[in-house]
Amino acid sequence: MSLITVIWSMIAASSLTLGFVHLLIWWQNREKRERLWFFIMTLGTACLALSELAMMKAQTPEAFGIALRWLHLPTWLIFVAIVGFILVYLRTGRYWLALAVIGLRTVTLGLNFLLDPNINYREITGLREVRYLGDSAAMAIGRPNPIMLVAQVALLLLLIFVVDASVQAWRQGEKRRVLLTGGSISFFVAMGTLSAILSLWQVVEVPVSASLFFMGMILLMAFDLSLETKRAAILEVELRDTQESKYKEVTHLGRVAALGELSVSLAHEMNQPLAIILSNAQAAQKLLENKTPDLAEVGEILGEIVNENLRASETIKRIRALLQRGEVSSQILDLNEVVTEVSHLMKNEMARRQVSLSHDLARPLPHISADRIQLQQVLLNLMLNACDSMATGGSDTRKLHVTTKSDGASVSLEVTDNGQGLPADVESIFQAFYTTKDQGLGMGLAICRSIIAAHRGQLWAEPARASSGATFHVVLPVKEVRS
Amino acid sequence: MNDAAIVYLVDDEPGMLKALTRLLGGEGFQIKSFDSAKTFLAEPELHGCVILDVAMPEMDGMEVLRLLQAKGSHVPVIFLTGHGDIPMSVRAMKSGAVDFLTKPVRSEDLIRAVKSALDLLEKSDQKQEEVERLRILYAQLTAREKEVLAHVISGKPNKQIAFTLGTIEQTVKIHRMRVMHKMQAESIVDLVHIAQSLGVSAAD
Repeated sequence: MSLITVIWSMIAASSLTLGFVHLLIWWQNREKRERLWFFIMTLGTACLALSELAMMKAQTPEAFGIALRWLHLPTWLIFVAIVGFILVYLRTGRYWLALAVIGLRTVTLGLNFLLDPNINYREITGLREVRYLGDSAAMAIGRPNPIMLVAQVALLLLLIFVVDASVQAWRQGEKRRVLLTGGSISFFVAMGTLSAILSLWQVVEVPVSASLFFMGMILLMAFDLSLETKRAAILEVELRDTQESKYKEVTHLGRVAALGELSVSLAHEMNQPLAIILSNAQAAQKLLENKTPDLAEVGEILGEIVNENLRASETIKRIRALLQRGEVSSQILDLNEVVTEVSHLMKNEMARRQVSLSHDLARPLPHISADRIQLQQVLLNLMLNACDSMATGGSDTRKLHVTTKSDGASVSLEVTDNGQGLPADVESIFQAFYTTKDQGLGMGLAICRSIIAAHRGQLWAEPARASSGATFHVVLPVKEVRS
Repeated sequence: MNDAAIVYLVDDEPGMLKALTRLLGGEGFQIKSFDSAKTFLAEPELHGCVILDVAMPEMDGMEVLRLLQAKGSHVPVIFLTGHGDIPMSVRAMKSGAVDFLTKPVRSEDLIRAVKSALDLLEKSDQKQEEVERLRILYAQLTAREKEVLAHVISGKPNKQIAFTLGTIEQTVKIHRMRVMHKMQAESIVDLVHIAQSLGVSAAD
């Protein structure tokens, strides 16, 4: 196989390969229309290369003429693609110039197919062999057709269009794009077509090899587009990071707000063990004033002091965990534990608000994979909301009932109150800034729903079956156990 | 200190009940503890003072005090609360509590409060007894003597009383001496006090 055949086939193949990569990008994201134009450009370049190859390897003047005639079709395609590309990628360029370029090139194409053998030659009388790249290539002997000036004016217009668009883009600060895209298009189109013109006017003894130059243009543009792709990917990652940190911040704020509502009870919860410790300690002091103190009693007192101390530090630990702006981490856990922990934190609040809390927990409950703190936050919010609802209306004896159960594939949690019930538009309560409280942010349920959604679960509300109140349902998928 | 007096502890927290029982028990008080308002209210007769937790499930301390008062009990109540604020203490004192303490409470403060509550109880017991005694004395007066008593404590001179009652001054003097004697009053001022504590009003 001759070197020319190898090089020109490779140009066609590599150009198309690059093109298909960007065609796929466009397929994934139809907004990236510059990728489609780029693909059309590579398609045109590949066909151009094959036409040039056919010319160089032509055996008869007729075959040469036909190949040159068909060469104008990919050339037209490349022109259209360059114009389209510039318009969507640099977002500059004058429309009337674009229309003039395409119009004139279309006229060229029409004339080309009307004239025999093509627009470039009046007639081709014969072929001659020239040495090219250490190989032999065919060139036409014949009379050039001056009408091909139309094609060359179209080329001039294209260059003006590209340079004009590049200057405008440069002024807008798009320097990298201009250098890589505008510059390479201008330079290689100018060089490629200049070489073709010189060849066709028989000024130089070099066959038409514009595709060589177009290939250079395509390589530089592909490089530019790949930089663009990388930048977009980085932006996307950054955006996701920002969203994640915002999510973390908002859920943290929600927890702080919920704990703020609980502050009185939590203070009491902290105070109670301290009170018991103080009274016990003073009772022990009194005992030790005796000549024969009851040391067994003192030992018992110290045991209770230790227990109460542990209870206080447990409460502090829970509060700190809820207040931390920690990483969201999935762990395998039992939803019942979450219910027990939150109920413990809420114990005093329930007493303060005269709410009697009851549980109906399915044991054993399949484990789920979730962030413990966030689930606590959801339950805390649901229970606080229930208390608020019962404070403002509903039954006189306030009853809060928490149920857990499982159907094997999912675990569900139900929080039922006998408060004032739900509004007619139930979904509205899950919207941000919905609140019935004087000091509420109105973010509680919206945050809860996003937390449960992040756990691939669902959160919704229904009127309670047995009372005027409401039932909130949380359904979470069971952690699959790999055997 | 009244030996028969009992300190009633009402708190939903078993640990707290135990600690307070130890503390007050060590001071020689008689203790009876209850872990809910309900069981406490079921207690048939109360003699002593009550230490009442404010925040309890089902029924809070204020409500318990209200129910006690509705039953006609005058048992002194000390409130003990984990989160006392000024409005709450004002409400507690207005509703008739004798003291309002916040947890954690120092033993000295608690013991002082219990002692003064029991003193108060004793004083009111003594007063009650005294009134009872005077009532018996008053019942021994004749109708005429009661009449004279009402006029005497109004501060009228004997002559005017005699005129009002349609009798002579000498008779009034005799009645008056008898009243003073029967009521064991040492002076007119004493007699006025006795009349006051018995709720006898002066005549016009």
